[in-house]
Amino acid sequence: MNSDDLVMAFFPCIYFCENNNLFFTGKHINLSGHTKDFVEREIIKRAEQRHYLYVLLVKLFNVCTNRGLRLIVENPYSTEHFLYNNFPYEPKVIDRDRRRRGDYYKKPTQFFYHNCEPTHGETYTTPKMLKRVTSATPGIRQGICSEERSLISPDYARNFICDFIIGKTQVHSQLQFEF
Amino acid sequence: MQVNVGRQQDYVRRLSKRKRTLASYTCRPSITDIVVTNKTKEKMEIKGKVHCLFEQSGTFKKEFKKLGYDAEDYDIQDNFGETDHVVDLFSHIETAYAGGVQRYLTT
Repeated sequence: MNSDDLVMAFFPCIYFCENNNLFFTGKHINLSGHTKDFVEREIIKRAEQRHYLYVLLVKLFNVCTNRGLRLIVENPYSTEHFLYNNFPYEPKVIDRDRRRRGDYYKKPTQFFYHNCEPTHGETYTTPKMLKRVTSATPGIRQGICSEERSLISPDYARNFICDFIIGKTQVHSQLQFEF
Repeated sequence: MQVNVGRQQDYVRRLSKRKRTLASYTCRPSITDIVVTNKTKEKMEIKGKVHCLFEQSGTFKKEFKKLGYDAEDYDIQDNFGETDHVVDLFSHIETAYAGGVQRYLTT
C-alpha cells in the first residue's frame, strides 16, 4: 500500500455500540438468570475485548499516520457510542439516515477520514426495500453481529462513494429547488 | 409603548406555518440528515488501489470496480466466496504497528 491508495475499513463495532452500556450494567438479557460471579466475569471479558479492539483501531490510525496512507473508517453513530467521547479523531461525515441514499436501514453512521477530506454530493435514491434493525436475524452467537443487520445496499455504497469520496455527480441526482 | 403580545404571537405562528408550507415544497431533505465537516470541492484522486477491510467490504469493492477503480477486499471470513484476501487483519495491523514487514499494510 502507498499514499496513492485508499483504505476503507468497516471496523468491527460490536463492542463499541450502545447496547454494550447495558451489558456493563449487568442488566443485558444475555446475563439474566446467571450468578453474580458469572456476570462479573463476563463483564471483565467484554471490557478486555473492547479494550483490545479500541487499541487496535488506534494502532490502525497510527500506521496510516506514519505511512501517509489515506483511511476512511466506518462505524455506527450515536452519542452513546464508545468512540463518541473516547477517540482522538472526530468523524467528518455523519449520515443520520442512510435510507435517503438507498440503504435498507436508517442506521446512523459516522465516517472518520484520515489524511483525506470528504466531498459533499446530494444523490438521493429510494431504497428498494426497507428493513428494521430490530427485525433482523440475530448473530450466530454472542459478540457476533448479525449478518443481515450489517448489510449495506449496493445503491448506498455507490451513492456514498460518489457523494463523499470521489465527488462525482451522478446522472440520476435529484434536482434541488431553490426558493 | 405597549406591546401586543397576542398579535405578536399570531404573527410568529403564521410565519412558522408559512415556513413549514414552503419547506414541504422543497425537495431538499432536512439539514440534520447529513453532517459533513471540512468538506472539500477537490475530488479525491485515487491513482492506486482501493483496499476494503473487514465485513461488508465486498459491497463497496464491487461498486468501486464499477466506477473504474482497482479494488480488493480483505476479511477473515469468506462467507460468500468473493473475498479477495482471506487474512487475519488484526494480526496484520499489530505487525504493521510494530514496524514489521507485512504484505498489505506496508509501503
